[in-house]
Amino acid sequence: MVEVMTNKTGGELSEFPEKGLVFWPVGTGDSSTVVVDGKLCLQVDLRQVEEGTDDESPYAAVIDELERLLPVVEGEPYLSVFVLTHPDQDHCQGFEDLLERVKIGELWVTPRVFSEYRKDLCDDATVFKDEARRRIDATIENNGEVGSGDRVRIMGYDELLEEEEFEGFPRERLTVPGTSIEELDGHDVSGQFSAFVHAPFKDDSTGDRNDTSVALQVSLFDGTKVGKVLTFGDLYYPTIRKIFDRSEAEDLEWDVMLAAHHCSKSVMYWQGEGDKEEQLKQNLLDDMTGAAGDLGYVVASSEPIPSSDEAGDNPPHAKAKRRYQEIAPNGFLCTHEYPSEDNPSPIVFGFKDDGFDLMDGNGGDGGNGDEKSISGAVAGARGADEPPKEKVGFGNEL
Amino acid sequence: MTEGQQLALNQLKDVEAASEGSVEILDARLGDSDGRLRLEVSLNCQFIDKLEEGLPIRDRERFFIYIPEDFPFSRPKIESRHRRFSGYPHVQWGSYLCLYLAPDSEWDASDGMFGFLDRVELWLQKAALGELDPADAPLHPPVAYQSGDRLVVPRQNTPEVGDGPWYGFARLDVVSDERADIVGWDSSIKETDPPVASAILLDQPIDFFEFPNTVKGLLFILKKHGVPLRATLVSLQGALIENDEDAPLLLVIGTPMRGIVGEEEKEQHLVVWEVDPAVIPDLRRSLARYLDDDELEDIGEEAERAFWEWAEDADTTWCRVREARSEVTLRRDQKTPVSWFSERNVTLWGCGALGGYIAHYLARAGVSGLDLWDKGDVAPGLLVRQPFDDTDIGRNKACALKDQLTEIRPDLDVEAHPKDVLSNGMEDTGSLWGSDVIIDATAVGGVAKKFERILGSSELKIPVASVVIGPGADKGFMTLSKSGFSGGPGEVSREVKLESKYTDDTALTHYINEFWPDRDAGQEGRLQPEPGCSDVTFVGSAADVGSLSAMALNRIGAELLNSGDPEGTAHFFSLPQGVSNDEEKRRTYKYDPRHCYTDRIDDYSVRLSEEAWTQLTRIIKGHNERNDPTVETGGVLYGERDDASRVIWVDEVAGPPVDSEASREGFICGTVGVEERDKELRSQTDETVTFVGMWHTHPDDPPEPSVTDYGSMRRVLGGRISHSRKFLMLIIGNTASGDSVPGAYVFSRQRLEGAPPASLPEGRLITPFRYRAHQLFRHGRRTMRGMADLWTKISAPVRSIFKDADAEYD
Repeated sequence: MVEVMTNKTGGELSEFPEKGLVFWPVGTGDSSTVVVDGKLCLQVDLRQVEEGTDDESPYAAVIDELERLLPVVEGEPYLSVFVLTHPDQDHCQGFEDLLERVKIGELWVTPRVFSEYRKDLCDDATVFKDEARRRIDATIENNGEVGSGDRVRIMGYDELLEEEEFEGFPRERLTVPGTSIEELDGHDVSGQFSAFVHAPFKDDSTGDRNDTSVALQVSLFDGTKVGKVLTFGDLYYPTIRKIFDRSEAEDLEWDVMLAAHHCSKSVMYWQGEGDKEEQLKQNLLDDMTGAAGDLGYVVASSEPIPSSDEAGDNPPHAKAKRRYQEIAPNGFLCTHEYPSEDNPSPIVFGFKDDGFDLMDGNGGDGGNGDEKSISGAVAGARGADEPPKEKVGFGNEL
Repeated sequence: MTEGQQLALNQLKDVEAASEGSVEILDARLGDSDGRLRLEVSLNCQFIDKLEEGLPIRDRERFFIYIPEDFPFSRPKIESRHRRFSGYPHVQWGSYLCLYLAPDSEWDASDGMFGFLDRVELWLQKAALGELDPADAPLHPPVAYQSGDRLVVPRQNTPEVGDGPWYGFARLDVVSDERADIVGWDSSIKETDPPVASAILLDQPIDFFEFPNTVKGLLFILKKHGVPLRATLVSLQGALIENDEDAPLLLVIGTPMRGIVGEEEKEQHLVVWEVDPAVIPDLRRSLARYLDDDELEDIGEEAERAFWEWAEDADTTWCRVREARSEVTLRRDQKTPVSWFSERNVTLWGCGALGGYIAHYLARAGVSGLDLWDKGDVAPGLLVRQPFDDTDIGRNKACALKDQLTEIRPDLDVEAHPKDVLSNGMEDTGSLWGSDVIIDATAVGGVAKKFERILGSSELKIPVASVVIGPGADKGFMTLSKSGFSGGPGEVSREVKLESKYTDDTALTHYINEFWPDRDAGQEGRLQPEPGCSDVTFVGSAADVGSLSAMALNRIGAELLNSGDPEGTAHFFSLPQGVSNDEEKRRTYKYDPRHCYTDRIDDYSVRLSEEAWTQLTRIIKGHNERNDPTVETGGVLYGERDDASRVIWVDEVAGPPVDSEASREGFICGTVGVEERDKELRSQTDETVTFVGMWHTHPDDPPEPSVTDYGSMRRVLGGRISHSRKFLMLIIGNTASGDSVPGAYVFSRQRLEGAPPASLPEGRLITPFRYRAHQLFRHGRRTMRGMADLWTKISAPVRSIFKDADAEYD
């Protein structure tokens, strides 16, 4: 049984689930671990803030945790695959450290990282870019015959291989959106694991960096049981809408959905052309609802969500949380509100009879403590007829 | 947007502002066809405890709230944005939350959206725990949304359903084109009589909360619950065979879902599908399938196919069903005072200003039988305050009322007697026996008096109430004598009137003055509607008399529900305008029954109050303690004699006046103080209580008059020493042994006059008389009714006793 130790605010796990998911409290950023079995783990994005190692800090020391909990292969902590959805700092912070302390069997990359100006990338993104480049070069050089630690998979389009810098990259190491990956660092995991790649779309590869995020439906199988998690990186409404428009229903099913862009309202509120203001895109919410499994949870990887939004606020957004609460069959969880805002712990999903199972879970306190019940709000609005407690002046001569 | 809708929106915005995000208005738009304002809201439901068996509520839920144009006088409706709640209790049309059990009373317009949202939260809380049908609450059977005009009223309860569905027919009473009542159930086509509806009663509850609005959906549900498609078809065909060609085709579907959650026994919940007339010809042709002819069989099969094709996309038309089965409808007046009358038989004397309304209330209260008595006709002027209509003018009131009541309750067994109850109805105590209560609303004094007479001479033991109102039609007076009470309402009236003479209860005095006004006072408030040609009556409106009738009836019901003790109760009550003092609004007085003895000569009913009886026994006991118990004693009786009722009420028993003489042979009652006491009582009681007679003991003998006694009566009634016309002689026999057996004799002048002389043996009483009287006494009151006959037989020797006694005294 996975237990969350209590000696470190921000959470320490005693062990990984045998099979499942871990969402780490890393502030407003992503850091998710997919445990396929005792040997194979996949890390989607990484964020370890500096104060994360401080015992009093609510942030998880993710790299310490991975180093401690990952399977040990040939004397080293071993991470089968690291996926970077897009090279923003809140998705790759600490990568350099991770690379040093953990053996990463395989990197999954999008070509966008290579088209960024170096000055636009944070240090960890640059390290990632260099490491990816190194592996691509090694793969080209060895015609794909590289071992663990040198493997790389590109998520992009066939045309990419025609570009000069990817010339000679083996086609089988390229995954085109709309197809699935059933191999992790050279291990055939079909029947056990599958990652359906939804995005990035080719058209989006030159736009805003967030728009180039990897979107995946990761399925874990255990015999007849299946658990599906949907991640959209930092995608916004237009791309997610496109994903829902283009994909088959089964590829959109989710038991756990990582709220895109750290619970940003831009997922479902969008100002389209001709709109005076942003509009609620109910159709997307309806589609997400339709794709939800019975055990569905929406997880936001972010700081505690405020009770209301001010114009211009960065994610997380209260409005987005409310919309997710409406569509999540089993509830909405925020990494920094679970189980409590003061003492967040990693959100761990194991496997149970029906699929994913929130472990050790009480569903959290559900909020930042400021929210009110309906009757509480009504009582506030209804008020009470009572005279003012202090003098009230009227008239001209006070 | 109407003013009310703006109010709703503002209230909701206030809540939103105070909610810190828990209540969020996402959209507000006008434009539905009903002019409603549609508000889309998102509500925080995180604080709601949820159970697996409850409504699947998410941490946040989105709803549409529809604000009607006349909000807040009409309440809003709320619908979930999704259909996830479909099929759960109290969710209708798959998404509408059924928030209120009794919307008209539960909806608080003043609290508007505030109370509405509170109710939404409460509903969600209960729904999330699966408690919307708590274990002891009425089950919410599946809903069939009415889509047709036809009304079906089930009156007869369904037959018992064993294992598996019950197939048969509901016998119909076609009341009108729009309404049919279910009056019986038959399982066999051979037994039933048209018109009928097909009927399928399921043995298991259905797990749908709504009956579908498509035929296909209905057939599916029936199939799922053990009714094969073919069985439904055959069931429909059965009714077609029975009914006329143009009769509508109805299918009654029952599900055992009426009752309380958790209780074993459930009654059938009935819905009625009216099959589209367009498909009936096909259904009729499909009957050919059963004929022994290949060609016709083909036609039948083809018609059947046509039916199934039709069923593929036809809609169901659901009739309105209004339950009248007592098994499934709790009476709305249960536990109210008038519930006493349910299923009882009532005799009502008087069908006018009071009786007319009382009859209506009784019919609605569920009486099973009603005997109406009134000799009067409906005059035009009466419509002002009596419940008759223009067409009733000239008709007898009882008959007109009977017709009205039959309209209300076709099942009511009501009989109209267009006769004067005084001269026709009261003596027939045999028929009165069939009643559970008699209500006298005649306001005719003679009725009460005559009833006292009847009670005194019969074994009739049923409650009798009398209702009158004051001349201002703002006060009411109801007297009730319960079964076993010594008298009727007249006696109760007398008791309360007497009590008023001795009390400082000003409220009672006010009421007494209202109902027994000073004869010399003016006739204020009285009215002669048609001067010269009508009785003087009171002034008062329909509202006045209706209210007072209702108050009176409620008090009768409450009293009868309250206690079965043989007591008499008097109730005064007032309309708000009738009294100035709150304390006077209602007054109730209770009386214990009196000790009753039947006069052995003229069949008077002699009734000693408890107090008088106590005085009597105390005096005898004291006498026995101080003297030789075989010495006689006696005294004076004060009370009231009513020769119409043939009742003598004894209210005070006095011991021997100081100048009395007592010995073993006899008791000579003195006169000192008697006249003074008589005057005193007369004065105190407005001549109600006066000297009525004397009592004495027969220490060793039964209470039968002696020769001396008779002689004394002759003297007293002879006119020389008294002007009394009648004299009560109360003899207490066997006092020496402590048995104290009373015997009452009302002597009258007429009885004494003309008594022929006869020879008599020595002694106080001749043996035959003594023997017979003793025998009679032992046989009790019942045989006393034969006294008159007996008297004739034995009167000859008795008369001679008088003669001798006279001689002795002369």
